[in-house]
Amino acid sequence: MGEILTNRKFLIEAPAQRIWKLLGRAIFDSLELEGFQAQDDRNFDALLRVKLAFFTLPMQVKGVMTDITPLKSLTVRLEVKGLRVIHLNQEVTIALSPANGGKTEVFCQVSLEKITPLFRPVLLGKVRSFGEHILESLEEQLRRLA
Amino acid sequence: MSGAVPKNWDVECEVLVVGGGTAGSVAAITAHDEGADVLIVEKLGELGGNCNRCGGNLMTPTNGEFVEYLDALSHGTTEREILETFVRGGMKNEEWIKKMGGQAIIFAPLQVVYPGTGGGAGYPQAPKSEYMIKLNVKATGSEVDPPGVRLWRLIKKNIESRKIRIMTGAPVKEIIKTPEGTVVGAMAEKGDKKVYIKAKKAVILTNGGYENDSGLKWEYYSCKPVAFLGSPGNSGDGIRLAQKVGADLWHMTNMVCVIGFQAPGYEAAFSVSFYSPEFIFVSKYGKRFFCETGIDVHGYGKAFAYFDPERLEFPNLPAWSIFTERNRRMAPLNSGNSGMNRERYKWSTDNSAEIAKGWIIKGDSLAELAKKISVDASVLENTIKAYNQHCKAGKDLDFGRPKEDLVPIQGPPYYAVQIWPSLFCTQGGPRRDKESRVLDPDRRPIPRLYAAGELGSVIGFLYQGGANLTDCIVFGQIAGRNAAAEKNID
Repeated sequence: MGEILTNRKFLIEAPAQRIWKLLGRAIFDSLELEGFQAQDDRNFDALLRVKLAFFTLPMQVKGVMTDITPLKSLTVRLEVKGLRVIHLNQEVTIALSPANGGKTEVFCQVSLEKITPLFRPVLLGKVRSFGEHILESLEEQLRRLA
Repeated sequence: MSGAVPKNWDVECEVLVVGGGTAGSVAAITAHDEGADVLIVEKLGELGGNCNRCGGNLMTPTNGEFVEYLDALSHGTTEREILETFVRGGMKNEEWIKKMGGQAIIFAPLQVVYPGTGGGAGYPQAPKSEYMIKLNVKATGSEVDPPGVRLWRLIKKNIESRKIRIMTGAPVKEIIKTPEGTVVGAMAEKGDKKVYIKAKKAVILTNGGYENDSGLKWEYYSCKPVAFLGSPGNSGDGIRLAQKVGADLWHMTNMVCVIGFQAPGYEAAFSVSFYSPEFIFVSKYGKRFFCETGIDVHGYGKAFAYFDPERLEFPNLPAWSIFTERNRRMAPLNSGNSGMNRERYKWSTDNSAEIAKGWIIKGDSLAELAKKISVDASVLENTIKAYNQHCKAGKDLDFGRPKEDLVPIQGPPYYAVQIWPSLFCTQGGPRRDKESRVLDPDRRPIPRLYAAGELGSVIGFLYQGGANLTDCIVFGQIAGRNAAAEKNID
């Protein structure tokens, strides 16, 4: 477990089965990945365009699904590289648990595993706000799709 | 007619396996482990069949009641006792993987691909669908390969470690029977030489389907042309061999059909899929013709095969997929891990190379796109308009596309790619019983002839993803065991 950057908990009015079915789509829409290439059933490469103040920074993403427990939990490790010198590893975890009335509680967390020390002071805030954006978007997508 | 018994044999073995894909390899390993002297004869230059090219998932029942599901999918085309055997055997898939020295892992993909396949049953509306999972072989170390490649690597290792004899580049042309009707061997062609192979115990036919035989496809699929994605070696040889020795045929009209793009100069099609639901399919007249996202990836064939008796043509052949800039940027259209072209062409990640080649057509307006693909512009525009209205309303009144997949087609630019039904594998072949024995039209076993795998699979009407590999493993083992138990002939 790395440094927790942000987390979020919310209820969706749909059973876990439905949420699980929509999860992949919601993650894709939240991350806005491009050039997605599945290497196998657990590993993928993609391109992420991170919007900074005055420009967009293209980052290479290597994703590994480290946990897929259907209807319960999912963990994706993202190794992000950009401008040759920026390197950070993030982990996104999503856990589903049944709640009353056919609803599902969704707990999401973004943690930072590693970041190039030199850029930590500059990037940490950006990485955190990006994580917050992802989780906010994930909630929005799941609510819309469910 | 079968071949005549020769005076002299060139090669002898106890169990002759014709075709070295998954079923043949499993049969060979099993027969070898039962003590038989085994020879695999393969038409192509190497073993592997469709295994290397497929998704690599094994449909694995978790409860015996799963037979109800298969029974529902079979629509009476397969006897219940055969399906029961299939289910009992399939429940031991994990055990088999372990026995081969591998480790099984549950296939549980996130649903992000359209068309796609999930980890569970492809037809959840059928009874007892909850009683199945898909397993594949877990990657070892740092290897990153599609599951089909991992499965084949495991099987190949087991063939090699047992030093099972292999003859490649040798298509079998005749099964040889005695005048009394007992199968005693086969004749293969190696270069310009005929090689007579004596099989003292039995012959096992495992040489795949007919996805690469246009004659058989037209005869049994009832629409054409139909592309193929699988092994180029699967051209109906096993069916013709079985027919010549008097086998009955079954399941000839069932096939695994995905969507593919037939590129000029390529023998096999490229599978086509999208990572965003921002796409629709239209006929060559610019109209939608079915629910594009509601079907398991394996089952698209039936949607394309409509014949219009007034126009005397197939209006959906070829069809077009119309998609957005977002889809163009998200992933290569040929992002699937399957098909023969996997090793032959690297599709560009943003599809730009394929636009430049003219494989993907770009239009700066719908009218321009329509003109480029020879579709009436007003029809295409109306189709998109109607579809986008369904998206806005949250209900597809035409084809019932799921609510979450109703995302409008917005542009410009707009893109189109021509799509064809593309066969990954077929299910027809010699009829067999639960002991993998090949049967004649009177349902009597042809002595010492067995079959397994894609060649006459037990899946008779609707295909469930992962079922072929399970057929290969379950009936490959049964065939291998029973063949090895036959008494040697002189």
